Amino acid sequence: MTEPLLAGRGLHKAFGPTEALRGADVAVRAGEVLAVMGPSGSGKSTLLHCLAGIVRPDSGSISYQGRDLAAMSDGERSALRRTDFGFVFQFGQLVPELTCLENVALPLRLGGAKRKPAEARAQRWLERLEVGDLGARRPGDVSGGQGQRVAVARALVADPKVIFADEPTGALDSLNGEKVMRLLTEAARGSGAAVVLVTHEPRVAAHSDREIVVRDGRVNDLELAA
Amino acid sequence: MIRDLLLGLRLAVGGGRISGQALLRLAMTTLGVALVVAVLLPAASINTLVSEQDARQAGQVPQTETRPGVDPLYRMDWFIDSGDDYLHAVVVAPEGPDAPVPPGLERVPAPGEVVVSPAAADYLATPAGELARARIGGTVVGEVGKAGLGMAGDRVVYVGDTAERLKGEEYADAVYGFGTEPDGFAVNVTTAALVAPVAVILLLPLLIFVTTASRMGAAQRERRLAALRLLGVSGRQVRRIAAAESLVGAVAGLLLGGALFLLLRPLIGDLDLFGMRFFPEDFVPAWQLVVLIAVLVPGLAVGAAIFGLRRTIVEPLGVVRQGKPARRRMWWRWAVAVVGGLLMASTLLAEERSNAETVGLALAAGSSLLLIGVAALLPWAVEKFVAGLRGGTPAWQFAVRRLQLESGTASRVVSGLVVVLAGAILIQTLVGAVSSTEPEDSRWQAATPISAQIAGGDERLGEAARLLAGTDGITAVHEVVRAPLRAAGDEAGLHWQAVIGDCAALAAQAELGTCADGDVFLVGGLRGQEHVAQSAEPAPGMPVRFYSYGGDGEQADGPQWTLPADVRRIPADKAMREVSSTLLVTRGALGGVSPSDAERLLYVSGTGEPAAVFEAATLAVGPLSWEVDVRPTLGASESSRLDEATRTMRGLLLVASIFVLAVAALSLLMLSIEQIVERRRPLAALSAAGVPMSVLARGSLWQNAIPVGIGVVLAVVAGIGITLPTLRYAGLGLSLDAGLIGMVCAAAVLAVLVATALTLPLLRQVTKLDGLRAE
Amino acid sequence: MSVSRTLLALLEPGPRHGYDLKRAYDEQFAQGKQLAYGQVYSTLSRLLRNGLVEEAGVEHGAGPDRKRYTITDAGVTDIETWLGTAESPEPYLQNTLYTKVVLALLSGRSAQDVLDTQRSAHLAVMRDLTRRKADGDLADQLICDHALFHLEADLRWLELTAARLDALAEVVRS
Repeated sequence: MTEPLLAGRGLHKAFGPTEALRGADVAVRAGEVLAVMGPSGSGKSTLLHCLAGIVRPDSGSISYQGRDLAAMSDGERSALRRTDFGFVFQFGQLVPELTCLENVALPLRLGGAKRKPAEARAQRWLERLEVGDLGARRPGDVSGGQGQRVAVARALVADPKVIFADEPTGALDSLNGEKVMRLLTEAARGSGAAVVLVTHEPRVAAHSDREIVVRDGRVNDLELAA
Repeated sequence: MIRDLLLGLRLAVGGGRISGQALLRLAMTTLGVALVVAVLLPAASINTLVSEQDARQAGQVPQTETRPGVDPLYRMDWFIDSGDDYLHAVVVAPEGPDAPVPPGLERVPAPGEVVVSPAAADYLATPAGELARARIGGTVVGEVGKAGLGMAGDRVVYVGDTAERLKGEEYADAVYGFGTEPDGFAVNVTTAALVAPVAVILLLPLLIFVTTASRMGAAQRERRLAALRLLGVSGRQVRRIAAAESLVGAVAGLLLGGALFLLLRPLIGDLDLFGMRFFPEDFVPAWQLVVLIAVLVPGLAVGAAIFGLRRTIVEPLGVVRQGKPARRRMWWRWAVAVVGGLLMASTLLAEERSNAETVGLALAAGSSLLLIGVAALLPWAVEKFVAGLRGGTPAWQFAVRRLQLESGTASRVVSGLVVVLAGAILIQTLVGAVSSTEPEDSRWQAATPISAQIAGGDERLGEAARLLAGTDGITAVHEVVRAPLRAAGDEAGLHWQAVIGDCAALAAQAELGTCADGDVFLVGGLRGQEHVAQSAEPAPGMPVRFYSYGGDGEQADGPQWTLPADVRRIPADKAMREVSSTLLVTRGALGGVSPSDAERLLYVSGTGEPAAVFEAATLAVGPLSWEVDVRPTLGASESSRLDEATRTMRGLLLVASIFVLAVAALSLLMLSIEQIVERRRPLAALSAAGVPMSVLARGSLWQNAIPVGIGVVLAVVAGIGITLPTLRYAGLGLSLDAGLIGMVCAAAVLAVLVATALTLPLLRQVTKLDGLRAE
Repeated sequence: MSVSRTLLALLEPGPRHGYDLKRAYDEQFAQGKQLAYGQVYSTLSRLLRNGLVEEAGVEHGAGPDRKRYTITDAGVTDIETWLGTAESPEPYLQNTLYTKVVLALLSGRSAQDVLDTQRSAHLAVMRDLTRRKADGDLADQLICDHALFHLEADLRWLELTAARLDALAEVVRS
């Protein structure tokens, strides 16, 4: 079995007296869609935050392409998140004052790209997610489903290796949720990105290739043991 | 209705649990209202202050009409000048037991007794006051009461003496009583016109601050109000509840402001404004004004809260904003600015120094209108500037897009700043220009400069000369006579001063070259007065006439004299400042003519520092006390006094500008805080996606810097626009204080940096994990 | 599902031949299980007998039976009544899964494992359905969704049960 793209081993994380993670082992292979399931409060989101290097675990290791995220500095992890990861959250992640197009182009601009090529590329991604006509509008002027598609475009625009999606359809109705999930997984598969999908909805998880269940901050990924 | 208000009150203080933002809003509203009140209450006291002072001064006016049964009190003013400062001494001596007692004194001091005001006592205790103390002599037996003073800082000394000594003195009056009716002070139109803009400049930023504060956290509050609507509260009630909420801060601010006023009032007595100090207990605001303040200021805060809801309809299921905000109406903003500009431009047609009242009015009105116009144009300018911007770095893009969405509040915050900065440029430049007309060429001094001049009667000057003769450090005592003269036969025409003395005396005052008895010299006018000197050039051989002033102030003709055929001219920068535009005349040149109104003077010079020579001279003639008048010569001392006034003025302006700037920075800070709280989710998401804090912080920085930058540019332009015509009209050099403008800009930059820096902890906190959690 | 009511409803827009009816049915509802000709004709004759349809003439020409059928007023009423009547919801109070969980708890085995195994199985089917949905037309999507929602309901029950396993164990073992 080849080394996974991203693997967390023995992750522990406590917020004050509450232990969010109490020993989690997870592996993400390149290009796969992994659903992280579990009841609310089980530590799903914390696991995602740890794997993405947003939060440093209290103990345990996170290896990404042979590097240990847990040992990296804040700045290094920020840079890694910017270049290698993409993010989709439940809602409200778009910068309200920027237009949709500018929002999507933002990761490219932060990576040092010039405005024109960045926005041209962002426009192509908007079109791929079937919201090509919304580029000039501000996030406040588009519907929830459209906003999430813009967010997906932003997560994918910089060719990330891993996309972290935390309840990406949590604020959408079934039909819109369905559409966003289909576009997200299709686009990710199309560009070879792995997806870590946190959800408590089985229908959303059904878009994955594989699922793990977090319960009371514990998860034992069979893939990792194998 | 009362129930709604009570509900609003409960919501504002929120049953123990109160959100950080609501608390901040409450604190900021309180602070803003308190500052407004603390500025307004002293302003409301000005009437009391001035009328009290007026009444006291009227009570001190001596009455010289004889009254039956009253013995006269001999009284003479004696100004003791020590260069940097002076002291007002009053020499008094009663003729009998029934003589009137001056206000503020318990009794008339006996010979050898001295009664001093508190300020005079403080001064005499300093090293600088020692010399004056030595001249006054005697023992201090009491303190001059408040009734004897106009202002707290008046340096007044009553010196007791004998009636015999004073009686024959030329300048002593026999006084039979004190006090006249006060004029009855009323704020006249001119004063109001001068004070009103200053008050507006100080209050405007504060009012903006209060309105900004009371509208903080509007989104959160509107959601709460929507929840109330769901419970069945009517739209009208919602408004009342919102009003009551802001009333809490307003009332708290009112109380805090009142407390601040009462607490700070005693400190006013220590405050020295251009040498004026006020009695703190005179700061009693008129009750009508207090009522007005107590009603209007909280009313403003409440009004702002309700006004903020004007376009918002709070529905049970959320908040609806009515359409797009109305387009900014432009024409009146331009109209105000253009009318102001035209008025300023119209003064360019007037002649310099023409002293026409209309020109002054046009300048005043024009500059006010221009300032207001510029402040009103700022939101438009920011909007236009920002609307045209595209691209830039992501941080710049954040700021520009944010401002494109809504720049009104930020512009309002900054517009107060514009007015103050532009006003500061005007005033500081004027002050600078006035003090720079103090000519440099006045610094000429003879090798052994004249350090003191002593005036007095013939006998006394002889006595003084005798006393000075044996004094260490004094090398020469010149006797001169000063007399006014004018062209013969032209009473309204040209007037000069003549200084008459021997060649040695004259040579101490100007660089004469060669001098023989019989010579006459004309010292040129100072720079800035050349046009006077030129038109008034005395021609050689011209008949002139000495004159004197009678008791009624009328001129009385004295003997006529003809200028010799040879009058040598001396440029002003080769003479002491006192003798600019003056004829220096050797005694022989007069040919026996003796001026009718001659003031005899001793010019004392010596080696060493002028101050030391002055001190030695003063001490030497000490036994003569008030019988001779000892003064330091002009020059260093006078200009240092002016410098000090300028420094004080600059200091005050700087304090006012910094105060306004601080208030504006605080408003910017509140605005930034609110925007960060509002956008906590996207900010957290961006940070999660690896966007560095520095990009977000730079975004905040630009967002503050753009409106302030535009504001400062406008302020500088408007400041120059109102300053140059004013300078030109006043006949002052067209120079701008680049250092000052630089300082203004630097202060603005600093304000932006500080306001942004203060938001960083919040930004850091928001971009941590919390923001990602679903609500 | 009632074949006779379905055929009756398909006749409502206008008269059709028996062969047409079969094709229409297969297109919309067959799901891989086509209707036999025999069943079509026996159903139609039953409907004729009950007066819900009547013959609307025979077309001459090639082909076996070119009889056309049309719906009667009674037939329309019947359809209206059927559509307007709620299907009786059938609660699965005692299904196998519940039995398995209880038995696992009673025998001291890990009920969690039972649930986890079941979840994987459910999700596997759901993944399959999701993929079919992506490739299929609107009808496929609606049918897959129906199945997905039912499976999801099962899984939700599983999650809830998992969360309550401790309480359940106490009740079962007492």
